[in-house]
Amino acid sequence: MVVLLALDGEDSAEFVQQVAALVSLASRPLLLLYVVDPEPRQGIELARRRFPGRGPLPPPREAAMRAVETAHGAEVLAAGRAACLAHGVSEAQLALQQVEGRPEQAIVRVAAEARSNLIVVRARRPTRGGPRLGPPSVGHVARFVLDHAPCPVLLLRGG
Amino acid sequence: MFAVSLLLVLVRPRGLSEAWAVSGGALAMLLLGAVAPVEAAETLLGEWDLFGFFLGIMLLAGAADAVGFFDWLARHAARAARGDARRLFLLVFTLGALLTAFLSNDSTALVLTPVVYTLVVALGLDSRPYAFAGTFVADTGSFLLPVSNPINVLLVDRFRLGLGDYLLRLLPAALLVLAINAGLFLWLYRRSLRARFDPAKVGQPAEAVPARGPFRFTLAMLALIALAYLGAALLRWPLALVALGGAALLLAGLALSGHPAWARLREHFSGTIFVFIAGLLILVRAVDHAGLGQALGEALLRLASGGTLAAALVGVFGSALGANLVNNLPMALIMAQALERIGGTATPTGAVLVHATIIGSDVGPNLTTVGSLATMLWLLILRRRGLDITPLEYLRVGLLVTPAMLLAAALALWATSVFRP
Repeated sequence: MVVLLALDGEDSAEFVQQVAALVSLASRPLLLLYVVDPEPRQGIELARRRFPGRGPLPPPREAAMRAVETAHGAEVLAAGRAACLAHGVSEAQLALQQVEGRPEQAIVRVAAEARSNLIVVRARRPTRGGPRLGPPSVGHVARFVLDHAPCPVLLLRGG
Repeated sequence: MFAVSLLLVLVRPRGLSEAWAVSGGALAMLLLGAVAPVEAAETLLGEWDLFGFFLGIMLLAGAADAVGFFDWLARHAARAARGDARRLFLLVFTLGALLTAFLSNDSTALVLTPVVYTLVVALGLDSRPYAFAGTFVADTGSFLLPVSNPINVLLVDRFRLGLGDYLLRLLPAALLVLAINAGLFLWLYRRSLRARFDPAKVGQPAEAVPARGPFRFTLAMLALIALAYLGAALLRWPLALVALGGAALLLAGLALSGHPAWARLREHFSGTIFVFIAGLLILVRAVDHAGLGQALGEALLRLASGGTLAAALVGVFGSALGANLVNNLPMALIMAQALERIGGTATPTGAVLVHATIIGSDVGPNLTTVGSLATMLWLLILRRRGLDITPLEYLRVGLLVTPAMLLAAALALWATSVFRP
């Protein structure tokens, strides 16, 4: 049973703690996934089209933007890995994956490719001002995963 | 021919450069005799200030970027925010407005925004509010001063606008629009901006500066150039003299110090922009010969016949709409031609229309961010074909924020026109 933990970049330790309280992580293969959303970078590139003749982002600048995205993703996965190890998960159980794309679509796609038996995804966090309950409390990423996942989904709330 | 050229600019079949699309149309106009070669040459020479200003701001932005100026500023903003995402947002927005005011909108949209993006991603923050802040404030802040947008330089030159009158009419509107933009974004991104970041992750600003001597020299030069811009605007001197002269002195100083600023200039320099502008100028001249400039001018007068309030609303929304149908530079050129035909600033209505054109052409592009509805539609078509480009978010934000800013600016312009001393 492969459990896919869709890390969202915020407090991975709390994420893993919540999962561990609900699902036994012993001996289960865990896939930690972080999705880099390229939309903000693409938006910056798109905005350049309004300046005729200025062309795309200079390669060094674009490379720096992509590098920091990858580095941040690696940090998130490393934090998730450390939290899993702290909860008794062994290295052999863990797989880390970082992909680029629209988060909701990438989570569903990777879950299908990895033949996951369970996806764990976090709802929109109330600490950011969102409602605790009701449709707006889920968030568009978790909502999409709930609607399109090829397997059961565990929706984490709170935080 | 003008319409075909603009269509090619928007659609860009097979990646056709905008410059070649427009210059092809201009060449056709010359061959057809719509514009005489001598007149075309006079038209181009007459706008030397615009060409020189474009060159100057590209060189200044390139030199500043090469010494780490933008990275240094971004890090200072992050340190001043002390871990608070909302405070960082306000600092970035303010920084963007100030850079736009004195270094022109290109610097903020094309240089500062990617720098800020890199910083906030490294801090683990949601980059959207900051990416939007950078791209929007580049336009919202671009009518603070005459030098804040090349379109302002075009219109200030054409209609001999003095700095005092410019500031009296437009500065209140500019500050109001900036406040509205910041306020709406604080509300729109209120959830993301509740986050905190670890200040220890922000590197020292000095680490962004490869060489301290050239950096300090650049800082001093930029400050002098900013003052010189104000002086030149006050004395109605061509702003290109300051931009080019300042850039030349700055680059000479960096070269003497052995700093390899020249190597980075290629990232910021675009030769095709001059071909694009030249082609547009000839095309607009040909359109004017066909009587369209006069017709548009008379139409504007009819629509603005209700007085200065009508003129403000028509000018702002009309030029904003046009800036999004095509692109703000051709729109500003067309409006300038039309307004010249009806006497420019000779009447109160004409004066308001001219200043309203500045507002609409500068702020209007925020509606679609990519600068034209046609480009937006084209990107949506690409998305349907499976290419993962999502301009809808920008359109949604643009539609939410921009009309409110345009209305507020038009009302502020009318108020300052009515109550000016």
